[in-house]
Amino acid sequence: MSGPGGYGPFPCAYRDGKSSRTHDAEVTFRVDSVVIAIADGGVTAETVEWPVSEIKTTDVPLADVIELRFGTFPFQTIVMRSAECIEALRASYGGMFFRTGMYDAVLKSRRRIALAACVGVFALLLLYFVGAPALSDAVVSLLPPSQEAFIGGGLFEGVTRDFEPSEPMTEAVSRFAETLDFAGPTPTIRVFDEEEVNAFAVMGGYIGIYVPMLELIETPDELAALIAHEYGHIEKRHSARLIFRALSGYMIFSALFGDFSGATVTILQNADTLNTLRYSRKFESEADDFAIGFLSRNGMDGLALANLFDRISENNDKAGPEWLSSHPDLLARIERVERFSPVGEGQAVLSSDADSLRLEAFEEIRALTDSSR
Amino acid sequence: MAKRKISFTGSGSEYFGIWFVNCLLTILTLGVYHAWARARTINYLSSKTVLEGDSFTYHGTGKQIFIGYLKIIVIFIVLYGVYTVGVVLKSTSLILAGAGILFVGLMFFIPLAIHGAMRFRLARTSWRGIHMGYRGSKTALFWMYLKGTFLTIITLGIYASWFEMKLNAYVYGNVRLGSVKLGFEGDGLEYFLIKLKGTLLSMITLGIYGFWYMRNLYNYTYSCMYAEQDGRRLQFSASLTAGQYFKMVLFELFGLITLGFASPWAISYSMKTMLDAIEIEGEFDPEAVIQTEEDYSDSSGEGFLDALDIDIGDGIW
Repeated sequence: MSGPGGYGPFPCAYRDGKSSRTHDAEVTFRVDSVVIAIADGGVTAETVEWPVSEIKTTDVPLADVIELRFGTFPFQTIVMRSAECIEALRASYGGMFFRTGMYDAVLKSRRRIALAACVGVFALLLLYFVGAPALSDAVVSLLPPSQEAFIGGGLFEGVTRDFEPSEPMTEAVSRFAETLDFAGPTPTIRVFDEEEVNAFAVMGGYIGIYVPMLELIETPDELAALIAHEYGHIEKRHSARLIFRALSGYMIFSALFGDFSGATVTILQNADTLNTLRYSRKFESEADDFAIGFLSRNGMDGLALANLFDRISENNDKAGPEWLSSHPDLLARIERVERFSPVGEGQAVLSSDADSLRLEAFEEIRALTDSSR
Repeated sequence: MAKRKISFTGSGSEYFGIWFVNCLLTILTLGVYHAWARARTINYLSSKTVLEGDSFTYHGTGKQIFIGYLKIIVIFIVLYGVYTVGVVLKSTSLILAGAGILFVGLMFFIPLAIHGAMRFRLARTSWRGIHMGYRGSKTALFWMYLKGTFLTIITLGIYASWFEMKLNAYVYGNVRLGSVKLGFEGDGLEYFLIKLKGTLLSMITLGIYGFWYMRNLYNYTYSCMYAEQDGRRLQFSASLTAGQYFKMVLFELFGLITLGFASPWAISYSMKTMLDAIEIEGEFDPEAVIQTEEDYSDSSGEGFLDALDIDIGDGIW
């Protein structure tokens, strides 16, 4: 029913916005305006013209009833129910007040729905495995060192609260570490009287070592290798990156589902398990590479790291293999370390005073571990 | 006397289409679209909620809801911040301070959020061009909430039933559909006895009575509601069955098992069933409702409730 006067007329229900009273009416869609002829008792009582630019609607996808509103509050409204009328309305003004094209396009056929579902799942996987880690790494790189040290200090305090500290060993190992060149602030090291062969690093410069791990160490270079490896995790900010990556997973879900409280609760519940997160192979290799450079700078044998790994591997069945389990491909990595370590090329940057202090501290550690056995 | 119903005419498959595209766009926009998706959802559900042949219209926009979300994020950071830091650092003093901030903060914000959500949602909902509205006062609700919480705590929870009835009476009593006024007349004792019986029998029957219990709560609450048009009273009465309630729970579980894919069917079944269970008896003139309420546009209340997981329902309000 298109003519020079536009599409229409179509039957509709008109209300003036002052009351709920329904007036039968007929609507015509012109280029720039909608014209409504309002009937009262069968005769046209009044005709109103609405400029299209001042008309609003609520676009419900796939709607079979459409309401148009006009003017300022309280709005005049018309309600259209015939399919023919709605089709004409869309044909006349389409994009002007309907923004559900995306819905109509996707829901057109089953094939499109299936395709869209695949896109959605793919996007979700991409977000989770690529987007979130990249984003959290970016956040970590923006984190100022003082903040990192503050958070790390708190975390370390929290993680080790229930552990049995070994004060004399902590003192001796700290003294040992003082003699090493970290090319930065010396980390805070504490030794704990736990039963597993384990050592861990927390962001901001905190290292924890369990006594059984110390018992496995035979040379000063091996102890330096262990400290260097853990310090590598700190230097490369692995600990912070891991924690932020774990949090980003929750963040994604909370953002997607708008459920902030749920995410908050999850984070709260998981706060105390954050320290048990495992480093990836990539992170372990990075820490090893760092350790090799560190040993060489301190005039030590890069092979000490390989020897240490060997010994832990031999003791695998004896003690909890926790530390080891996160150091995969041990043999391959020992080979790597051996291949790349510049044996004997290290530069001794510290005085012989430091050497003797280091030896002294190491002997004390040996004496303490021997007596604890 | 004439009996009327508000009915839900939507279907699961129709709703699924909207739900599906909403999910897709939300994922692709990293969650930003969530606010617009919510607006679309309420649009759809309102447009399928029908009284006297005409559906309700929701006028809220994604942008308004989005702004509300932003406010909520800030409020949440303030409320949970200290507590979270305390838990992470395992610092008892920080945890206690954080819990205090959280408790006092929620005391203030829950009533304000109820107020805001009612204002926003109702003012943005119309029927036959007549806007709904909420006329309650923030301060009155706040003091009512404070007193109710206090009495509930010192009576070890017993007062909760009376509190809920008072809250309903205040909140519903301030709802308008133009010149039609809503009201709520509930008896705390009756409500308490329903809860007492429900809790005891649910325990004895290992939860099976729960369906009857929930049915009783629903039926009682909605039978307390009424509306008034020009001095004529329209009484609501609800008659949900335990079987229907069981089916709703089953549907909802199915929605969870299917990772949400079946939830559109679950929600449309619930909407249909819950609305169909309510009858409105009395003389109502659908042609004579006068426009009385004003326009309103602050969505933070609504966003806040959503974030707190207190749902005020996706239908009419």
